[in-house]
Amino acid sequence: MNRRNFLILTSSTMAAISMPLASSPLHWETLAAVQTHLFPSDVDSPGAKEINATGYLHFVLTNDPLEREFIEKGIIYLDKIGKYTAGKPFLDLSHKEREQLLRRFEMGTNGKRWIRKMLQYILEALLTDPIYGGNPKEIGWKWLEHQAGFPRPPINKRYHLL
Amino acid sequence: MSFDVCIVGSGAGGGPVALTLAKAGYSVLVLEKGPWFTEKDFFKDELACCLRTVFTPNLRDEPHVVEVENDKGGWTRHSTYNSSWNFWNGNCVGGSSNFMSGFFHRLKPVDFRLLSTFGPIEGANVVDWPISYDDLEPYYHKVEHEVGISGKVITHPYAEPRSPDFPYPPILEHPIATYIDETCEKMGLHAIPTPRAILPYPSLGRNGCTYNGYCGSYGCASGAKGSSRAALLTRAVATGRCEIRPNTMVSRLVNDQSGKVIAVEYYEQNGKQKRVEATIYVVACQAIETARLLLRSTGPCHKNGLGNGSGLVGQNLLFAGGGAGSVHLSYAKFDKDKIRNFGPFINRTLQDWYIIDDPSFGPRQKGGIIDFVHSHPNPVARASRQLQGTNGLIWGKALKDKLKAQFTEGTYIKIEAFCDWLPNSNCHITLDPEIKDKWGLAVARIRIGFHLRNLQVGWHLAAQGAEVLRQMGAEDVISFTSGAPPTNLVAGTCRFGHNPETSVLNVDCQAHEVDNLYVTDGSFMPTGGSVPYTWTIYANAFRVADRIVEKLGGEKH
Ligand SMILES: Cc1cc2nc3c(=O)[nH]c(=O)nc-3n(C[C@H](O)[C@H](O)[C@H](O)COP(=O)(O)OP(=O)(O)OC[C@H]3O[C@@H](n4cnc5c(N)ncnc54)[C@H](O)[C@@H]3O)c2cc1C
Ligand code: SF4
Repeated sequence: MNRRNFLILTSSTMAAISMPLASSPLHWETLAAVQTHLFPSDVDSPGAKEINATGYLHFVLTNDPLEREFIEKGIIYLDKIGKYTAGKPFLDLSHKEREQLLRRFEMGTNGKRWIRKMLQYILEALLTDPIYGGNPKEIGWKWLEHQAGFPRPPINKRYHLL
Repeated sequence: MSFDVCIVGSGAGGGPVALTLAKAGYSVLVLEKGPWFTEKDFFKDELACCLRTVFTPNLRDEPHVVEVENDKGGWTRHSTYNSSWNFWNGNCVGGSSNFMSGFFHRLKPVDFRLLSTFGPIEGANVVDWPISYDDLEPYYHKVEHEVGISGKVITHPYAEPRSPDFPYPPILEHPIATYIDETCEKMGLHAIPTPRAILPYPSLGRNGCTYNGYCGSYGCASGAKGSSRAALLTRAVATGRCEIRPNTMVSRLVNDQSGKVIAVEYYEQNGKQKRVEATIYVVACQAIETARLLLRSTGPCHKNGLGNGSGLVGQNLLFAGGGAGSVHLSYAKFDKDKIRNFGPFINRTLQDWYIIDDPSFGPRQKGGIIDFVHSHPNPVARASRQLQGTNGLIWGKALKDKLKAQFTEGTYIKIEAFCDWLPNSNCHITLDPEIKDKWGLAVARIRIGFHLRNLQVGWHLAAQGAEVLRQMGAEDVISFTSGAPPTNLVAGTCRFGHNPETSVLNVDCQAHEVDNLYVTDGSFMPTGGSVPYTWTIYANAFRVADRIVEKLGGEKH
């Protein structure tokens, strides 16, 4: 596929593609792989896995149906482009191929918005109160030497319950 | 049942009226579109305060429409749904005042007489106020005691005349304040402890500040912050004469052939429409929503909106003008233990450029103030700002390295410079003809035109602040200005004045054309002064409340 067509494809609105929206295990596995790529683990610092980015994203999407639709369409679409350009699903791509695919995805308006949201939720999993499922045992706060405020939210006063 | 007074909006403009009237023996009803939270609902939870819509409406349901100038000299419109703009600032009992930082400054005598002091400015609708500083001074003083303001009087060339010292000493200070003081002294400047609407210790039936480092944008769990709810409405309700109805969206002030308001029409949370009657009606929905409510409350005598014979309802919208900056204090250079200290406030203000009398800058003119504050500690917001690189988004190891450096190698301080947002004919509110909110009511269309002078003065002030911090040894010093308004500091849209043709409200903030209608939020301000507005909003609302008591026949007991 030439670059021009690709740009047209990625910037067309995702909403136009009709896809089944059941959150199959496949999508979650792919979403988790994208998160790991965007925020890898290191010996001296937590990555997507350690901060429970996937569990956190699950919490967010459960409470926001419109957002869930956007994230799911995005991951299906990303995977589709991967299959189209590299002939493989995202999960089978090498690190380099994943990087190339995401960088290409970033060139479309919706692709960029989608990646930015994925990054935003990773940062939320890293730095919001552990009561929401991310930042287990304050691993993100500890890594960045961050001092939280008080009083901290108890389970029955999480934002979606207020 | 009919009330003596019905107040729409429970924030800084509504609270003083509710308290004064209830204390004077009158029955008061406060209608508030948002829920009623208390200290027990406020936590240091960045998701609740700042990343989701808990204390403000969901923009899918209640957007605004913003108009900004484009390169071709025309105006480009977009809905705030799915944009980075949000003009809601806190919609619950107590309004935005629950979430303010409480930096409190008075206006100065010159702010009441800008036109006669400095003359007209082309392209700006500058006027003198119909009252003077002396008329408001007793009420500024009253707010210090009723709301609880901490501070310390420092003599300096632009200090305003005032009643005796603050009732509360300054709140605890961060070691950086001392560095600033030392630098300013060397430079011949006057660093002032910023007055704050925060109690340093328990008083007025509320707790003192707990100094946990997260204040602005957060509801206060201790009650130390002088919100309209904690400081005023709780006491109004305690009189037994003030009822607050939360989750009540006022859709219209119903008016009849006489031109007077006869009822308030509102929606309950379940969508049911109701009416309630009162003798006097007070609107305090914050400048934008106040104008929107008046504009949609048409009637037989008010075809263009309630009290809008002048055509000025919604016009001369004000934000806070100014500039900003940020600097880095590295742990390599400054004592880490000292500057990492987290909780107490930097709390320093400079007013040395309140009037700029510097031929190299231009003719003698109004300047403003400079506040030094900690960069907001919200970690997700801070981390998100690292995402955008010059060639696209940053992720992977590069992002992690950037985060580590940003969070662990020093402290950031912000410079906030405030100057007048000059009132002008391209900054206003109208009703959007197309977009409706979830109740089917036309949303406010906000045109944001700014005067070039804002940028010049804002830039100048921010640069002066930056120079102080540079001299102090700060690194990565940047200062800038922008025409984009701070959406949390809003006033204007119903300016007061003597002449019904050139103002919406009279000296008492009563609508020229509607005998039983008052407006008590920041809408009355014809010019904004070069400080955040809330102390002035509180003071004026107490002043107007006294006028309303007089109108109703004085104190009842
Ligand atoms: C994060 C933040 C920091 C701030 N920091 C400072 C500071 O340091 N210093 C300072 O001076 N100021 C500060 N402010 C500004 C300050 O909060 C406002 O100036 C002040 O609260 C304005 O008072 P108001 O009565 O106009 O509006 P609000 O206090 O917002 O009250 C208006 C109320 O009316 C309600 N309402 C609106 N429409 C309707 C309707 N149709 N029916 C029923 N109810 C309605 C709203 O829900 C709201 O509760 C800050 C604000 C924010 C958000
Ligand atoms: S306790 Fe102090 S720092 Fe915390 S919100 Fe209240 S006033 Fe602000």
